[in-house]
Amino acid sequence: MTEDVKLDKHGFIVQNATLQKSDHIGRDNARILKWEDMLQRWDYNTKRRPTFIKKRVRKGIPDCLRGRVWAELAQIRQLKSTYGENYYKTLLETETDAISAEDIMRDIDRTFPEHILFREGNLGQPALIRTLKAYSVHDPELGYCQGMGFLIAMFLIYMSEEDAFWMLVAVMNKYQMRELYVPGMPGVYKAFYKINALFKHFMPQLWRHFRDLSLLPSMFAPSWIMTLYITLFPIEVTLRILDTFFCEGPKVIYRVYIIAFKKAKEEMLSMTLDEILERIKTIQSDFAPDELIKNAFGISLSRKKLKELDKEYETGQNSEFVNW
Amino acid sequence: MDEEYDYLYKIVLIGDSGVGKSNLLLRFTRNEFNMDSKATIGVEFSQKTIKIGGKTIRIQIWDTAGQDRFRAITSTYYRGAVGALLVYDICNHSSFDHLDRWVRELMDHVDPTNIIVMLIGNKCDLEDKRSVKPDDALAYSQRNNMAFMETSALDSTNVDQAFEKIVKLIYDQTIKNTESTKKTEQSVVGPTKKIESTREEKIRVQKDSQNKSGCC
Repeated sequence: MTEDVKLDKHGFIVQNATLQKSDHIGRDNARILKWEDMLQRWDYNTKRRPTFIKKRVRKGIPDCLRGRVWAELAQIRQLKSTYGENYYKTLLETETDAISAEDIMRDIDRTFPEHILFREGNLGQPALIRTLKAYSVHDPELGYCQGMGFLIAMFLIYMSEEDAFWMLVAVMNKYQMRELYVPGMPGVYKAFYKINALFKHFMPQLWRHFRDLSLLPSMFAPSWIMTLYITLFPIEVTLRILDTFFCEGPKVIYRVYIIAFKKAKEEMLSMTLDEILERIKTIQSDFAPDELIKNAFGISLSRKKLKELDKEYETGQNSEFVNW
Repeated sequence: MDEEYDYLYKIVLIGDSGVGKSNLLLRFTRNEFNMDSKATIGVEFSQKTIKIGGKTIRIQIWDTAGQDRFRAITSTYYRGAVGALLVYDICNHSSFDHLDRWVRELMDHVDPTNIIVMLIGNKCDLEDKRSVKPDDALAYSQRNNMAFMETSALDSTNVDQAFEKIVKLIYDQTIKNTESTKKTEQSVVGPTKKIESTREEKIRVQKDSQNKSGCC
């Protein structure tokens, strides 16, 4: 491809590339060394110093080590050894069902077209096709669902094709994203239930306003939660969300959702439904990456609370939060 | 953005994945086309205000994901719709073959007596790749009592015209329903505060007073 394009440091095509030099090269390098060190004794660190890792991850994983760290956090080495070394190869040799194959192909051009790797004719597209097809063979009940492509494309930017595949397997199972994608999408309803409950708790005024307008999270948020905000935020923010997602699990989805409305809250309180939906379209520009993460982790949200809501959803739903 | 309007119509865009629903909407609302468009996941909301016969009409448009599975979460957005653009890709015959399924899905969620459906054959700039004949589509639309147009979101052909056409049809039906004193409540959705001061409300009030004996 001879296209003359300008890229940002992650490989995304930008209009005006001003090669951004970090103002903190010294600090960045020191951070990389610390991370290298931590990776050397990874198993020890994860067992003995989980809080320390969590703290470091919240500050952002150095980009050059990101793929490695994600893979460690998601424990794909263990996955690979469970399924055997040749598992991925075997999947590639198995025919994908016709519907999944067709759906996958239709979305290939529509997945990260703004990233150099996924431009037509570049290496990303065939890798995307192979990994998605392999996944649909691996998990025929799920097959292929729109949204998955964004996740795996993100992994392909940071790691090898096979590792990217295992990351997707980890995301679906260990990180419980599978129920968002299977037919019927039960996980989407469940996530919205929790979102509604938490929104009422942390943003009571706005929650009431949304309720009065019958403004539902399902009107704008399916793609937020299904793609872990990849389709919403700029890349720098998305990466930070993914860092903490792999370290701490799906809780960050709820933290980010609540915080996303923090700056727009006051204006939204006097807006109509359509005005709010329009305002939501610019919500991704409200925060700088550090600011968003800092605010999101300023919320006091325990794993226990989410578990309680899960249980409530299964056993006796509060009708206030079932408003789809 | 907070313009006054006389009527508020909710329209849904439905049809198979990849037929160009999002770009039709983008062309209509912002006169843009996105070569690098992303697949729609869930629903996306847009709106535009247009004038028809001296009336200001606010159109709320819900663009829905085309993959089958998403109907589990998107079909709720059909509720209250008074118009639907049923879109297929003129180069992709299976998107045309699936129209019946989309119509059934739609009718399960809306008031079938109060919805205008318009058939749209998109991507008509790609004549050399065409696989659906205009005559076949026309016959389908006539059989199903729908208006029909071929459009191109890429080169703008018929996009404004298609939206204007469906809005006009909805408008005519609203007026007709109002005059024949059918209930019109369902043709109006959204923030009722604003609508209360419009002619719609006045008509409704008149209608109600004429129909004191009618049950509700």
